[in-house]
Amino acid sequence: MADADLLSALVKVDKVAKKQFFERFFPPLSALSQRYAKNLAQSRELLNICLAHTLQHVIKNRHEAVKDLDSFVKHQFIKETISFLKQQRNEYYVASTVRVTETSSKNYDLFKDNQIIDFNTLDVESLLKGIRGLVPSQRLVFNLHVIEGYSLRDVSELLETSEQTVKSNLEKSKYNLQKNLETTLKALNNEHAI
Amino acid sequence: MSTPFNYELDEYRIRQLLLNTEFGYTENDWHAFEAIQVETDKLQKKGHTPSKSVSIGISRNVMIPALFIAGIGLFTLLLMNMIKLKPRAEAVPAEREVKPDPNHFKQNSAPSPAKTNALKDQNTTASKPVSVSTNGGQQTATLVATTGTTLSSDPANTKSINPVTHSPVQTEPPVPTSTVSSMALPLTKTAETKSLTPKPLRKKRSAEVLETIQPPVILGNSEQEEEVELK
Repeated sequence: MADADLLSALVKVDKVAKKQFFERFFPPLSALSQRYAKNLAQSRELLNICLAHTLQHVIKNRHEAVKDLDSFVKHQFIKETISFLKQQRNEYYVASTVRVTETSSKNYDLFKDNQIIDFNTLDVESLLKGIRGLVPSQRLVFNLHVIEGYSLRDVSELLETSEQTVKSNLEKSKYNLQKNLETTLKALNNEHAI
Repeated sequence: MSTPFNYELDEYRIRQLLLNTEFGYTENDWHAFEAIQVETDKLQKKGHTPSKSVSIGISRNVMIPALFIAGIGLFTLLLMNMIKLKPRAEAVPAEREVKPDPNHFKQNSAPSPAKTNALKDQNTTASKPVSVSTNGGQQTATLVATTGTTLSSDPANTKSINPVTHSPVQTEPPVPTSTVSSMALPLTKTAETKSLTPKPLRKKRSAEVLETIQPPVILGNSEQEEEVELK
């Protein structure tokens, strides 16, 4: 079914069209929601709610959506996700205590900490685990800038914050993610060694 | 920078890994989505329907001071009602209801003949034959007499009792005329005496003149003393 036909069927509240929309957009948006949420339970809730809102928005603005349905749906879903995460106020407005100025190069004791961590061995699961461990604001900035490819200005507009805040959050997120991945990979190495 | 212990993240690789990932779905996911979608539809429909609640476009900054002012005003009104700020109005002499004292009547049982005659004249004018249906014949006569006296003392009663339209009335047991007439006399007397008796005026006293005592002279004459120069 073409995009125009799908949209016209969605306007008529056609159940088959709705199922088709779900089948088409669930797999990519499910992965996206898992990156933005703090755990699997939240990712499921986020996916269902935001996808439902996105569908409503698509039906309303079908003339715009017809041009490029995939990118329209993705962009709208990201917007809905941001508003969803911002609604969790007690989680979102958490001040991070990480000092980004800390030197990244450390003098490791080769005898104690002699595990060489290869980032090429990273898989999706461990990467998602590391991203989920971030503070919501840092997680959002990292996802939007590094993975989705939005510019810092666009991110600041989407999050309704200053560009400086976005930059600082991005730095913190990179540092924290590195730490999280480090611990994850070390744990994996230890398991393999045993 | 590219030391073996420098963990710089490869952003490009991370992006490639995460962007292309997709997860499958099950029927449960579809049912969960459908349930939530129905709820969101309901909420949206609720949002479109005009709400019945009336919203007045007055900001909180106006409403709260207005409420406070109204509250303070009410409180002051309450206090004003409790406290009388006006000077005391002069006590208006209230009309005292004079009631006959039965002990007094017993003492002055014999009235003066002139006044009794006057009362009798009044009775004759007021007491025309009234048809009061009672049992005994004697009692009727006495009733006429008694009603006559009472009516003569109170003009309002004479008006109310009409000999033609008057229905059978049960009155109080009869009282002898002599006693009734004696009851009316002291009432008039007491009223007159109370109103006429003037209050005794106070005598003006002349101011008492006290003798003046001259103050004792302690210091010497100022002319004789010389001022001491201070050095």
